Amino acid sequence: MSKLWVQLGRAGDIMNILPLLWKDAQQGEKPRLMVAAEYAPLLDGVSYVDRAIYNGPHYELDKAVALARETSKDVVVTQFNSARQHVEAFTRSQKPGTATSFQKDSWRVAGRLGEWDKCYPLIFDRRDKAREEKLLRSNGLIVQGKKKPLMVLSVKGQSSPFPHADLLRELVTLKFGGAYNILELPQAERLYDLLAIYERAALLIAIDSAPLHLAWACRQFPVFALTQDKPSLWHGSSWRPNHLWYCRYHDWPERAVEMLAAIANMETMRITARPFVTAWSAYNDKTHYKACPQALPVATGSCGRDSGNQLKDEKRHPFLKDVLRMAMQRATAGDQQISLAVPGVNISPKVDVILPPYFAYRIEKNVDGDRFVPIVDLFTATKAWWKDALPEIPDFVLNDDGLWSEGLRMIFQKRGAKDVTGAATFIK
Amino acid sequence: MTESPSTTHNLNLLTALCAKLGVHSRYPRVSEQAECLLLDVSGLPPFAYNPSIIQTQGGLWMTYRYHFAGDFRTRLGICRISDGKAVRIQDLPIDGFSVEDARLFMFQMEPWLTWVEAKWEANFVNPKSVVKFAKLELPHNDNPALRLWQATRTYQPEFGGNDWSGIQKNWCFFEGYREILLCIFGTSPEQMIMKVDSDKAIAQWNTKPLQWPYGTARGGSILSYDGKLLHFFHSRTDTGRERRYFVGARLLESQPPFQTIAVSKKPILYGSEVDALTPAQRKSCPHWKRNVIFPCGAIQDGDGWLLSAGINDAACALITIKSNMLNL
Repeated sequence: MSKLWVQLGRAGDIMNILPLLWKDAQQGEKPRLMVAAEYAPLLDGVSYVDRAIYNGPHYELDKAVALARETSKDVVVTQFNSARQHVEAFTRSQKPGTATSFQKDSWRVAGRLGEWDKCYPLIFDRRDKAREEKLLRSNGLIVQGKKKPLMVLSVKGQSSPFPHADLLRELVTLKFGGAYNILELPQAERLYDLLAIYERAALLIAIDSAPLHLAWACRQFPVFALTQDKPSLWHGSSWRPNHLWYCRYHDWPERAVEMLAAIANMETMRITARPFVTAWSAYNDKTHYKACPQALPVATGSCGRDSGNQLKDEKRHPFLKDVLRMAMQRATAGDQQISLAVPGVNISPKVDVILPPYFAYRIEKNVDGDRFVPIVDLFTATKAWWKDALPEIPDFVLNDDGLWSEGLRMIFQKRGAKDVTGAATFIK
Repeated sequence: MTESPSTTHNLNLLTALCAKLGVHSRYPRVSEQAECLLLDVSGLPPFAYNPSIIQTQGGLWMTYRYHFAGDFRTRLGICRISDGKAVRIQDLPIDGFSVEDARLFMFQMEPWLTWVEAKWEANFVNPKSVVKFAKLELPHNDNPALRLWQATRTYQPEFGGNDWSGIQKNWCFFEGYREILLCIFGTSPEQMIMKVDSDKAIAQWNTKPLQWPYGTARGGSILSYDGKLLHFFHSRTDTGRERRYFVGARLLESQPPFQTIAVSKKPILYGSEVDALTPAQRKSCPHWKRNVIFPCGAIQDGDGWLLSAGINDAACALITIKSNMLNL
């Protein structure tokens, strides 16, 4: 028998591996997936997976695997939410926790982590229009004429409850109750029926639960993601390119006001006229309110690994490559330009006519005039260029020591990039 | 100060990357940034630097600075550049504890020289310096070997704190309209240009500061150019981790108050970690400093200029500059 994947539950974890199965199906191999009976209805929405149902709770991984092995010699277990000894025994003897989140670890134990950056889509191709319409109607979402934009809240969850749900609901309602139609995500007959609501909404604020994972099915859908960080960052969902704003649970009290500012700025924010993706480390600055598809302020906790948990740095910083990977995930076409900057950099519209790759040293603006600083703080290249260069780039920490910038400049110069110093200015 | 773990991590990676890419400098050596004349300076004292040039007495003459006693103190020398070779080498007879950074200029058809005279207590404590200038003369002698330059009519200007109370240097003298002697005293926080008569400033024009992102513009050399003045200058950035010199150029009005018309959009030359010296030579040169490019003179050369500059406080370079390199 063919390969049998085992991911008994929960819904979010199953949705995490569906893109991999979809990819296999595209290549002519219709995959089989064993899920616990309580999550089997989720697979009603996909045509590209043959389901095998385990008639027991999702945590009985040992029994499910034994059953799976009766029908297939090639059993792939991607599940981590079970007894540790079972997880370690069945996930190809590879210890969990090696990747930066449980989601990526699922892909890793399947031997597919290298494909994460390809952002395979989450496809539900067997949606039920009648059921969706009923859901929309029952929630008052089929209305004629002018209507306020819809903001969807998903702040309830079982496995990773959000400790500030009431405060979040209150703040959002107070701030945006007038401008938005705010809807708390309702129950649906099938989880993926909620896609009908997503497709009508302007944004989703979701805690670390199934609706957050489901949102990946709408790649262009702006998501404000709140994710778990206890006992470690690994336990929280990974950043996705449609997460315009991303925050770990325990950072939220400090960042709540910033979240409101990000929502308020979402519609007006544009970095340049052309669809650049501009990424920067926002671990230690206050520019996270810039939330739009072009802006990628990589906020604290957005990367599962950082200099705090990897190098014991007192001040946490992301790794350069992680930020670049996020930017590449955010960019769509290979010729789309990606700029890596630092907080405070103001990119001139002049860059729109400069052919990448290029870099610019810092020109610092202050009351006494301009000041050159020998630190490059703008690097721009196409997504395809970055992808090609990525293996050559050392695993620098994107901190403020200027050393990563010096290394990256060397690689840019070696590859023929232009020095366009003056195309960006830096304001302290 | 202890580096953070991430800085140590980055430093290790950067060191490895430099080794892998064979990179030793942020900017290539000056001779790779612009065409340099091949200069045979084997007759000069070792590691002579900060040259200034002038066309006079039927030839190209170059001054330089060199350390004569294995410490910080320097003297000035002068030589003629003939077929790319330094000849007729002599010390300039200028007294002083340490005389530094000569700059040649023409005034009323005659060669003149300005320099810095410095002194300090032991171990370079409490350094002070003043700027002086003098007329250069090359008296006739039937024996060419005895025909030596002399500095006459030496002046120590009595303005700008030029009285051993502090450190004065990098003034830029030039001949202005109607054969008057002018001096750029500073470019920031405002440009101050003095009209000089012997040791007195008899007029002064203050204008807006020169806006140049690469540090305060200082020193250099001024020439007439297209009805205006062309000023080659140096500047320096200092980030704590790195100090680097740059050469820029600007155009000034030729009439008072000598406003700046345009300035290079980016440096013409960058100081570099690398130069023509071998590692062994650098080791034997205690005054070698990385990233230094220090222009002290310039002359018209065809449709461009010949710029004389010190490299890393250890060498002389004559650099060809074309108008398209000015980045104005």
